[in-house]
Amino acid sequence: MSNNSLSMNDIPDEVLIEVFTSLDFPAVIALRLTCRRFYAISKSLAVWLGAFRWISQDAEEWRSQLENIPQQSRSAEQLEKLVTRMVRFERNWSSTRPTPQRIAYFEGTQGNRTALLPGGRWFLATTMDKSGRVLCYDFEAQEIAPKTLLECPLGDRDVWAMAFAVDQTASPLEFDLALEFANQDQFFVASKEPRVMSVWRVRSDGPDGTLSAKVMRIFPVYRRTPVQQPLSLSGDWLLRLSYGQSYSPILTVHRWRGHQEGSIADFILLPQAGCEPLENVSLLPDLRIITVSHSRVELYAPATHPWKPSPIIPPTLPRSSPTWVFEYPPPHRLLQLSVSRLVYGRKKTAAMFALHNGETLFNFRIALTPASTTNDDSSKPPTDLPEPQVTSVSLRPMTGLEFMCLGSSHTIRSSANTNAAIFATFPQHSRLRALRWFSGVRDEPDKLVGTPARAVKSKFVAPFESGAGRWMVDEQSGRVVCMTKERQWAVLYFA
Amino acid sequence: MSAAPQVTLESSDGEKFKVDKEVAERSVLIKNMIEDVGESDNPIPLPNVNASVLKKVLEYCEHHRGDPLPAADADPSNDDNRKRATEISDWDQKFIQVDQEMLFEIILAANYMDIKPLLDVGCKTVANMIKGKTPEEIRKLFNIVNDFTPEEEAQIKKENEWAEDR
Repeated sequence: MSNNSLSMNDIPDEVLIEVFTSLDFPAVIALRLTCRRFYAISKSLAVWLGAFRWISQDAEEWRSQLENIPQQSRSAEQLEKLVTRMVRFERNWSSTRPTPQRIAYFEGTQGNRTALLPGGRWFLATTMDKSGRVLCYDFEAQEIAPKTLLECPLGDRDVWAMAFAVDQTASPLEFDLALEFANQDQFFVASKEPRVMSVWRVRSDGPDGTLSAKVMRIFPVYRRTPVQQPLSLSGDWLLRLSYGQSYSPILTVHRWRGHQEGSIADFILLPQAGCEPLENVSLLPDLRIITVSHSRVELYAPATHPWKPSPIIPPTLPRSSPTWVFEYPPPHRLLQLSVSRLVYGRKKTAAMFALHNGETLFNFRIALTPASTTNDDSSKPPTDLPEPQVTSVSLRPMTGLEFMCLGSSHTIRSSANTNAAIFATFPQHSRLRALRWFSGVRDEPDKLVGTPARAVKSKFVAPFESGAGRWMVDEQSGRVVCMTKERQWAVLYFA
Repeated sequence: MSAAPQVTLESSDGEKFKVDKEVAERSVLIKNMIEDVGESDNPIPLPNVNASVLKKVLEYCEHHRGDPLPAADADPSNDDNRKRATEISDWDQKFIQVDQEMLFEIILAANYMDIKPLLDVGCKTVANMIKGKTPEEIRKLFNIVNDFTPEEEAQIKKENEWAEDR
């Protein structure tokens, strides 16, 4: 061969790129390591588009996966980073014993509102020192130290509730953050200074992508909110749960953007559940509302109710009837309930969320109104939508499921059939496990096939005792955040 | 039946090949030339392709003369090429069983003459040769000179080392 007059060197770059795109991921890396020229070629966009296709083997799937990556992010560097992370996390996570590459401990705050933002770089935590600050932590920095992202402009308050709505397709990261500030000393006292609701625009800009926040709207709100998830943000609308007399839940929808100063509530709704406390409320993009209580899940369609643009509940406002109710099978009353976050399908045609009661895991799929009506003042009720689909699976083989979070299929892939990933912790073992839901039928993408017991793919034993319920997972980056029993925080880098 | 229209191709070393127009037009380059120049008895010169390679390329074109032409720029997400990346049809596989120099010659000719399916076969063959090999084995196979400085190599290896452990 050494006498060949023709060699690899005579092949033009564009042809070599063709060769690269026919390679699987390990071979791309092997070829990259051979010489300078191949190293340079391996940095081109076409190569990583090819590699991306390789790891998302299903031809139909990869297209939609690519759609999820914003055009601006489709640089070779970004794609390589993404592919690398996906492969790394996948390999690690689906091994029988996932091992974090690195664990970093950091000092948390006394506040109890936290969020791991999509992308896994930023972690938000609130303070409890009357400054009403939100701190942000950069998990890509050498040293994880808090920086103040924002503070309450009115002072003397703490963050009482937090909700954010991240558009996954926005790059760089840009999202709305809703914060309710309250002075908790005056918790039981009618305060002269009312609670304030604020909505902030947070964006990552600058060369190192640092986060900055700008207040968009501030307005007073009334009535106390529960400690559980009382806020849900969707587009221009904000849903807030509060309790009226005799602890009956009141749902208020505020149009926080594009609205006249001074007008407070746009809709008020009194759910049928009456005196039963609500565990979770969510506002869908089509302005329907999901409520979760200890006995049922209900769906409300606003325009079918007598919405009143009024800051005070009119005494005549009747209780609203849900458009759909799901009651848990017996025993109806549940002691333990855990709700995962809401995820939207690829084309935002459906919302999906899951909840479990320690016995059974329920998966809800709710079809959304095709055209979003959120910018329309005269929102019409969604009509002719199919009933939400509920699938369930018994958790009996593994009692003690304590935390879960729902992942989407395009980030975790061990099989083209993986529909969703559920991360779960079993506190008695300090374990974090990935459960997977498999769907075998393309036409029924959300059908649960197989039991989680069989689908338990891997277990991770944390090197510390975890505080209950304080795990957060970002599948995109393979990062897991956990609060330890000592109220220290740890970030685990699985990719 | 009257004979199909024919064209004459001339290799870099002056050899002339008389082939059916349909066969020659598997090459987008030749197809465009014929369209530009019009029918002519003059041989079409291919100064970048020698006779032995051209013979081989025409063998491929002859075999695939009836295949549907690939769309000019097919939607890459639509094709199943990636799935079939390691799959090459039996005939093509036999056809491409040549020494390395000829393989590169065919790839260059296919690139120059713009015969996408043949270029794909060539590239996939090279890709299949690379798969599963270590960087050192790849260098040996293709006579690639390692031109990284030791520091560079260490650095790049470090960046990518995770990819090797499975």
